[in-house]
Amino acid sequence: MKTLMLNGSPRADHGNTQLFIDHFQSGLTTPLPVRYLLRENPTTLALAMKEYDTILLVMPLYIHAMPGLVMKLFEELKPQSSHHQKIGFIVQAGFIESATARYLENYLSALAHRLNYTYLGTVIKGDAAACSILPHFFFGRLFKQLKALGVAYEKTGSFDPLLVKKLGNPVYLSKFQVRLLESRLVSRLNQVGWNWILKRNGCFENRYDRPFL
Amino acid sequence: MKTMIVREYNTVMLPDSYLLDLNTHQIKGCCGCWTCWWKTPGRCIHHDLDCFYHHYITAEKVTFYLTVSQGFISANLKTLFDRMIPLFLPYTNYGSGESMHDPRYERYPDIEIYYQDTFFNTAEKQIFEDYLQRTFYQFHSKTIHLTGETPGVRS
Repeated sequence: MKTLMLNGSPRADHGNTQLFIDHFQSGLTTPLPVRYLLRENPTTLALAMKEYDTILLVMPLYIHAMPGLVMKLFEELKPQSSHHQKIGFIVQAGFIESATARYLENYLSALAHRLNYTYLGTVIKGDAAACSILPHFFFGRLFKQLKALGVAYEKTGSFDPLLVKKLGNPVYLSKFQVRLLESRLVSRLNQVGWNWILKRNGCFENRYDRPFL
Repeated sequence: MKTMIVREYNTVMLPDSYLLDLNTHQIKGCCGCWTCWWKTPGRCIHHDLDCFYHHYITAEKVTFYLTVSQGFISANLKTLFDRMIPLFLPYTNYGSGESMHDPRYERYPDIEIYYQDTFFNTAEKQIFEDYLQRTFYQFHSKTIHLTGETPGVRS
């Protein structure tokens, strides 16, 4: 089985997407080749993808879908003559609930069908925006799950459905979670991180600027 | 009424309306740096869309004429959406029962979308429409209308 991993992040190897790839790869005995969409010509990369049995595309969620540079690659893909190639996706998102990526998930499934790929599914992990900002011990559980996903992938050539389910939780916010997140205390705590960075960058006072009126 | 047109097809133009023609304007990609949120709030490091931002945020209505690409919106339009994040705040609210970014501006334009209905099947069309509805809902637009047009035929 010849697999190619693609990093679809505009931040290439400097962001959360790379962390996801690294921890997935830590579960493999033989590392998979990784190519970065940011550094590639989409036409050339689309041709190179034909040499692999399976493509695993890892990307951040941008406005409920793929980043623009991933769509540039999709525009270059042509339908396969048979179902011999497989494609799967791993999406990391900022919002807590994985339902914010369901629009993308629906599209990726339809795209695989349109292009005659066998669809391995889409792994979605929300609440991942701070992976590359906060110390890694905050994300120990997530990284273990990604490693286990890699272990299972090497054994079976597919995503472990139980891990996919675990990573995708919560799909929606419960009423209790919403009430908690909307409470004054938690709402202030949620702003602490942003405000700390804004202060560090000397622009806290300008945080509500409306420069284009 | 102040209006704006973003188009990938059609040659329609209204007097006093700002036009962003995506056939001639390749949008620079979002580089994921978050400078627009935490270094220069509301301003992107790229300046190719400064005029667009002003006209978008001051328009009462924005009309889109969109083509369908690989069963979805085009890469160029998707790049435009990625670059609209400076128009919102990094803070998140949950009042609607789900995560939403807070608005940066007091009001956002109504949205009217015409698209070339070249889908293979109704499922693809539904994915496209759901995505656009959701995007402009997240962008705090109160009215969003979508109309599919058969290429070359307008009712």
